[in-house]
Amino acid sequence: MEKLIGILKGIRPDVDFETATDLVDSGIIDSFDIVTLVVEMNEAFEIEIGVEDIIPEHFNSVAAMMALVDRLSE
Amino acid sequence: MEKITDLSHLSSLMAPYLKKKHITNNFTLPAQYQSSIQQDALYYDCNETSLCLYVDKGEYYRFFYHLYTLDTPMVMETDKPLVAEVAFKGGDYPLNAVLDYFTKLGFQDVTRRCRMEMPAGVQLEPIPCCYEIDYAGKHHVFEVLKVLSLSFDKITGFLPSLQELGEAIEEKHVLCAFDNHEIVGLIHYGYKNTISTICHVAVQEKARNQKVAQSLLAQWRIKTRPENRGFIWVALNNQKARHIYEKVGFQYDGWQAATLLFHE
Repeated sequence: MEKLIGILKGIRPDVDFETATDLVDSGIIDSFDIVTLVVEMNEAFEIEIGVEDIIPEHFNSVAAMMALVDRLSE
Repeated sequence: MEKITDLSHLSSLMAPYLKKKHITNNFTLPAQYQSSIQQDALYYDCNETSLCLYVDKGEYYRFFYHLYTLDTPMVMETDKPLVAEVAFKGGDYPLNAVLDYFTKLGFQDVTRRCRMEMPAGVQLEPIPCCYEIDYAGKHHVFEVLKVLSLSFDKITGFLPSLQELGEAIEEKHVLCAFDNHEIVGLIHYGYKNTISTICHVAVQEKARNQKVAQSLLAQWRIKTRPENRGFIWVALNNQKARHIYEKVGFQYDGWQAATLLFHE
């Protein structure tokens, strides 16, 4: 999780990602941030996030992102 | 150029490019892809080093690229003009190299725009002007398009199609300033998730310098979601518009975009 928070802080240093639960729905991160994040996560966790997985539900919180990482790592 | 018929096909094409160090102008999310696929409007071509996506907008294609390298020129074959936006933030993006690459392929660098953000939580009070502000109705669709056409280039101004405009009006995403029944100004906006982005602001010549734009912007903010951020893209050299946007609370957020045009 620390690795993911490090990536997120690199993209949006102004956001407290550890507590936020509606990052996309509330507009804290936008499509530029999400696509940048996907590229970083693919590299850092050696996974392949497909286009169909780039949906708000998977990026609304650190927990949701980690769940996506875990699923794609299986 | 071949048609993309479902999201899984697109996903398999894009998978090799969702990696670091590749060069793209594509920040599209699945909902937008789905909409293009449903309209039979999404096409692609690819080779070993590049994937290009084309969204058919009627008179032109919106053009998105994914490149591994700027050393291998693409072969551009198209039956309509191509419009690409190269969006970037900060100084580490190789903008000049990208622009050089596309210029050598025959693209023209036609406009530079910057993104301005209305921070989350900024609430606006109505700003009075001497015209009535209200949503456009279905019967206004041609008049709205005419007002937009007077202010924006039909290709590089990213004008909506009649169908898109009809949908925007139905969803109450077009606010107008009315002089009796004539539209003298309008604001056209959309949403990405819950973030509202203004697509076009247009004020007819005779209604300028009467706070019409400010009044429309205030109504946009009131009617959308002031607890969230909002965005507008504006021509970098349009100081007058930028000043108006700053006055109502927008701030330049560091994102810029170059608009590139290709036609054979």
